[in-house]
Amino acid sequence: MSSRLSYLVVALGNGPRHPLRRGIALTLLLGWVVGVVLLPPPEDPLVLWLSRLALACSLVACVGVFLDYLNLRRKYPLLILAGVTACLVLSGWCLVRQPSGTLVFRLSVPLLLSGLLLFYVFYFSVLHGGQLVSKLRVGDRLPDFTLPDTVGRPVTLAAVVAGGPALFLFYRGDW
Amino acid sequence: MQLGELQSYYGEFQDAGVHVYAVSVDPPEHNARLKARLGAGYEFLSDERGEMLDALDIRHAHRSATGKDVAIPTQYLVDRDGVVRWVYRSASIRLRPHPREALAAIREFVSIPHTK
Repeated sequence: MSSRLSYLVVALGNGPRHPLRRGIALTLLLGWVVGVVLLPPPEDPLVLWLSRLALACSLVACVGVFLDYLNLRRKYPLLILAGVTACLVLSGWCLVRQPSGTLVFRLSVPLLLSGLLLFYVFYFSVLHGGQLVSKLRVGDRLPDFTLPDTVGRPVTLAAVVAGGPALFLFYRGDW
Repeated sequence: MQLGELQSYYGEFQDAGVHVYAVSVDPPEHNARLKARLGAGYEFLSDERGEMLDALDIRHAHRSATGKDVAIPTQYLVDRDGVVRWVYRSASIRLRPHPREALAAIREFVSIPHTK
């Protein structure tokens, strides 16, 4: 029962807006209905428990994603990758020991989840695109500007660099 | 989050004598709240109309949660003459350089004799 409850808790806690979270929620709900409610559990108790462990590992990997959404200022790619790897190894072992279509369905939740998470880590990593050539090159002068600071006081480039070198960090904003 | 990470390295920027400005399209009041929440030592600037983004060609149209135009994560290290000494322009809105990369550039920049 507790594992069924955890499906729902994670699925509901996802929030509807983010496509990745929506994907995870849908995967969990569909997999839960098909793999756990409709189909009988595997006869071999070892396979049953290892498939549950595989699910637990993929959920642990999910935690690596959601910790980031809790604004803890860090991502946990190692937690994600470790959970996903453990899940894949366990699932693979179960399928080798008891090859059956039922088991594939049962393992669809952890496997799909692992796939999504692997994609997530890749999507946000430098392996997926890096830098582009900037219009402004090294040696060019930064265009003059006058922009308000946090109290609305205008700040100019000349005033900034008069005080020494500066780092301008343009960030996304509008969180 | 990128800005919190920046704050945890802010001391090293100060030690190097480099002023740090975080620029976005958010209004000053929003930035003031964000600065207080992060306990940020660096300053925030507002480019609400994105004029600076256009001048630098780093505008990313309709990419925020509310469909507003935002900046592509980009960083410029400029010297006392306003000349760019190091630049990092992400290929994608998802990628943000780590503060360590800017600090490495600063160390390199400081070791270059100042020419004018």
